[in-house]
Amino acid sequence: MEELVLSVVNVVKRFGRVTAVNRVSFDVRTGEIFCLVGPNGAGKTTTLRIIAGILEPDEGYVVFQGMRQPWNLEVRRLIAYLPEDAGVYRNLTGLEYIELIGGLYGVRDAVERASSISGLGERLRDRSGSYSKGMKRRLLLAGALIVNPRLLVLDEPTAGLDVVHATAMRKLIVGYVKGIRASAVISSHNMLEVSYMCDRVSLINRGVIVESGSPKELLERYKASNLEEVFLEVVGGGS
Amino acid sequence: MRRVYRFIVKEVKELLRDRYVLFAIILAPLIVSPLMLGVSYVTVRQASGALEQALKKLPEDVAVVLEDPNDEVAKNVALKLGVRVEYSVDGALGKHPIVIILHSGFANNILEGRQAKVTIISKVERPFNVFEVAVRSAIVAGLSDVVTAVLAEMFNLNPQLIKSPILAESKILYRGEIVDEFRLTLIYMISTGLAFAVFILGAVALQVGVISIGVEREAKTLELLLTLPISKLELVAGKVLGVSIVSLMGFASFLAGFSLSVIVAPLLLADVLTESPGGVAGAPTTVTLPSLINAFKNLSPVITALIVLSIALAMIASTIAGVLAGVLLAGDIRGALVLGSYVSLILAIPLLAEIMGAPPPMPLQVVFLISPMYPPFKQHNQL
Repeated sequence: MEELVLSVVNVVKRFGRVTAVNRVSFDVRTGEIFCLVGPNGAGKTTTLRIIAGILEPDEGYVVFQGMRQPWNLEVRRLIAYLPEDAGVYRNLTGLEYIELIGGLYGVRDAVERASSISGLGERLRDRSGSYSKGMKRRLLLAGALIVNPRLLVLDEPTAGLDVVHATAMRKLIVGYVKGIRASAVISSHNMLEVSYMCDRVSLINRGVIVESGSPKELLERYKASNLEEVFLEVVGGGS
Repeated sequence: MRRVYRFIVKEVKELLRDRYVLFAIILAPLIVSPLMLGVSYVTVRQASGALEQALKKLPEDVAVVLEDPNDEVAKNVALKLGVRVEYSVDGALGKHPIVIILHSGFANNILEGRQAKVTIISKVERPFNVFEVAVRSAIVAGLSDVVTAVLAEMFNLNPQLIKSPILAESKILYRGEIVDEFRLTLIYMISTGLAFAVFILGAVALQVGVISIGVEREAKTLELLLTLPISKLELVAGKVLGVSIVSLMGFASFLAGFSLSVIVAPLLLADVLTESPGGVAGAPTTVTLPSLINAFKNLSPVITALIVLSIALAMIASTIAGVLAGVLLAGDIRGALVLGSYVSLILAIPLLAEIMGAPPPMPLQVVFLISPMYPPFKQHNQL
C-alpha cells in the first residue's frame, strides 16, 4: 500500500448562502494523480484553493504528510499550486520570473531546469507579456516543477490550450509525478485528459462528490465507453 | 531577508517597466512644476499690469508717520508724497493698510552721510501674495525717488549725485503680529513647499501602492504569490519597500522639475521682480534658491527631524493606504489609477485647509490626522 500524502476530510466551504463545497473527502497517495472532475461551478477550484491554503474551510480539515492546516512555510515549500487563470508578470522576462521563484525556494539549477521543462529556450529572455497563452502556461508549470514539490495542485492545467501544448503539459505533469513519486491533485472538465492522466477520479457536482474510482472502474461500473457518459449518467443526463 | 530582497527587486522591475507607472509616477511629477511655473508666469505678467492701476490709488491707502514731527526733511518728504500724515503708528494702522514710518533722526542721518531709516508696515490677509510684494517694492522705489527729489531741492543738488538715500525695512502685519517681510515670506514658502512635498510624495506613494496591487490583479498573479514559501510579513515588507523605492524615484523626478523651475523662474520674471531698485531696500523681498537653502540650514534640529519624520511618515502611510485600497478595490491597473487619484484627493482635503491658512477646528483636526498627508506640524506658527 502506498503512503498517504494528503487527506481532505469533510470539508465544507460557504460563500454567503451558497455552499460551494459540501462535505468533500478524499485521500491522495504517493505517486498518485488524483483528479476532481465536474462542470463549471461544481466546487473544484474552491477545493483546490483550500488545499493550497488560500481559503480556510468552514468545516472539516486538510492533512498533508501528517500535518494539519494552516500550512507553515515548510509545508508551503512542498506544495506547488497553479491557479486556472494564473498569469505572468508581463514586465518581467521569463528568466527573471524563474530566478525569483528559484531564489525564494533556494533552487540552484532553476534556470537550466526551467529552460528544459518549458522548452522556451531563448524566448525566456523576452518579457512574459509577449508570450502566447501556451508559453505562459509552460513558464508557470516550469516555475511550479523546478521547486521539487511533493504535491502538485493544478487547476485546469490545460484549459484553453491547443492539442500540441495540452499534450506537452500532460506529459510533463505525468512525467514529473511518476518520475520522483510525488503526488498531484488536478481539476478538469476535460474527460479525455482525465482518462489519460488520472489514477483516480472523483466526480463532483454542486459541491458534492457523487462518484469515485479509477477511470477503468468507473467505465465498468456504468458500462460506458467513455467518462463523459459516466458523468452524465451520474448527474442525471445533463438536464 | 534575502527573500524580501528578491521580492523588492521583482517589485521595482515590474513597476518601473510599466508604461502607466512611467507616465503617472515618473514623467508627470517631472513636468508638474514647470507647468505651474508657466501658469504663475502668466499670472505675474498679468499682475504687473494690475499693479499700475493699484499704484495710482496708492495715495489713498498709504499714511506716513513722522516719529519726529519737527524733522524738516521728513516733513518735506511727507508733503511731497501727498498722503495723510499721522503721528502714531497704531492710529495710522487703524485707518490705512500701508504705513510708512520715517524714523526720528531722518535728517540727521542724511546730513551725516548715512542712509535714513524707513519702515514700511503692510497689513495683509495672506502671508504671501506676489501682487502685494510688487506693490511694496514699488513703494520703496517711489519713496527713494521722492527723498532724492526733496534732498535735491532742499540742498540744491543734482539728483543724479544722490544714490540710495534710504534704508527701508519692510514689515508685515499678519494675524495681529508685526513680522519681518522676508522672514514671513521664507516661512510661508518653506511650510507651503513642505506641505506640497508631503502631498506630492504621499500621492505618488499611494498611486504606486494601488498600482502594484492593480498589476498583480490584472495579471492574476496575486493568488500564486500567496502560496509561495514567503510569510505575509515578508510579502508586505517587500511590497512596501519596493513601492517606496519607486515612489522615491517619482519624488526625485518631482524635485528635479521643481529645482529646474526655481532656477528658471527668476530668469523669466527678472524684469518684473527687479522693477524696484532692489539695492535700495535693506530687506530683500524676493526669495531666491540660495536664501531658501540658507533658511533650511538655519532650521533647528528638532524642526528638521519633524520635517523628515513627517515626510517619511507620509510616504509609508500613503504606501500602506495605497496597497490596502488596491487590495480592497482595484481590479486592474486602470482601475487602480483612477482609485489612486480619488483616494489622494480625499486624503489631501486636510492639507488644502492648512495651505489656505485657515486651520480647521480642533475635533476636525483630530479626524484629519488619519490622513497621511496631514503634516504633523503647525505650518505657519511652529516653523
